Amino acid sequence: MAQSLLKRGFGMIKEQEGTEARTARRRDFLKLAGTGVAGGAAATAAAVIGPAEAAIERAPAQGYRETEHVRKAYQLARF
Amino acid sequence: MLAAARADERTVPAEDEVRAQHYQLLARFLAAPPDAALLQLSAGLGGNETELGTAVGELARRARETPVEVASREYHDLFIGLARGELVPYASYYLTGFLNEKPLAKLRVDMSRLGIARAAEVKEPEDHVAALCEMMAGLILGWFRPPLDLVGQRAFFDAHLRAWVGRFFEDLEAAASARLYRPLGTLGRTFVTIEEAAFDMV
Repeated sequence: MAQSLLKRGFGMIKEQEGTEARTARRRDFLKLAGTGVAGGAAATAAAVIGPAEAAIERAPAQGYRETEHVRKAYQLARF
Repeated sequence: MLAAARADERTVPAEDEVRAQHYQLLARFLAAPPDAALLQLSAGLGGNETELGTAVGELARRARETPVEVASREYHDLFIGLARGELVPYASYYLTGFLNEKPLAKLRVDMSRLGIARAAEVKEPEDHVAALCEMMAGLILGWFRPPLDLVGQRAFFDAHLRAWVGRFFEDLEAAASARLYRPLGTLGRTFVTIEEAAFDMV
């Protein structure tokens, strides 16, 4: 990542190596744990699902979709 | 917004992109009744011999054999109900027994700090499990601001998900109405355990 390259330029190679080793260990762990099993299909799902489905928005928000569960929660909150 | 989000996503490491996909998949199932497109996509997911992979495979199998109307009814029984659904998937409810409590207030502070918001005209709580999964995906992929680093992701996860989402997914696995959603509960519970362990390596 661009950020780690910048840090390297400022003589923080040793610290970076530690970070990279940790990153590698974490990456290996995630692979072993089976994340990514869904492979290409999950990527497709994510593309379809995307930010457009989100009930949240980048601020300032353009529109908050009032979904059914949210309406129900609103009712519950009045009890 | 989408173009900007795509540009940011290119700088996200592959393993984190995959984590975001898991969050998005969970969010999509939990935010609204599954539509035909979601069921079709889920039916195509491949499993493997890991615990997570087994859950994905089982979800795919059930997605293949569940008609949209049946999936929709199941969603209603689980989360909407007549008086209320079998489960109430909000952080405030899980942590305090009531909706709109302090966990929601704390979440709103962090959302505003991280550039996440909802429209002014709507007043529903943001601490729904689907919204939190969407926020995790968005923070990883950089939907709101440039992608958040792992330390920042861990802080958000620890503050708003860690104390209760595992319990929620266990409840989903055990819910009487859950058929299609049972493996989704297993998937969620397993994935959250992996997230916790991976964050401990950061």
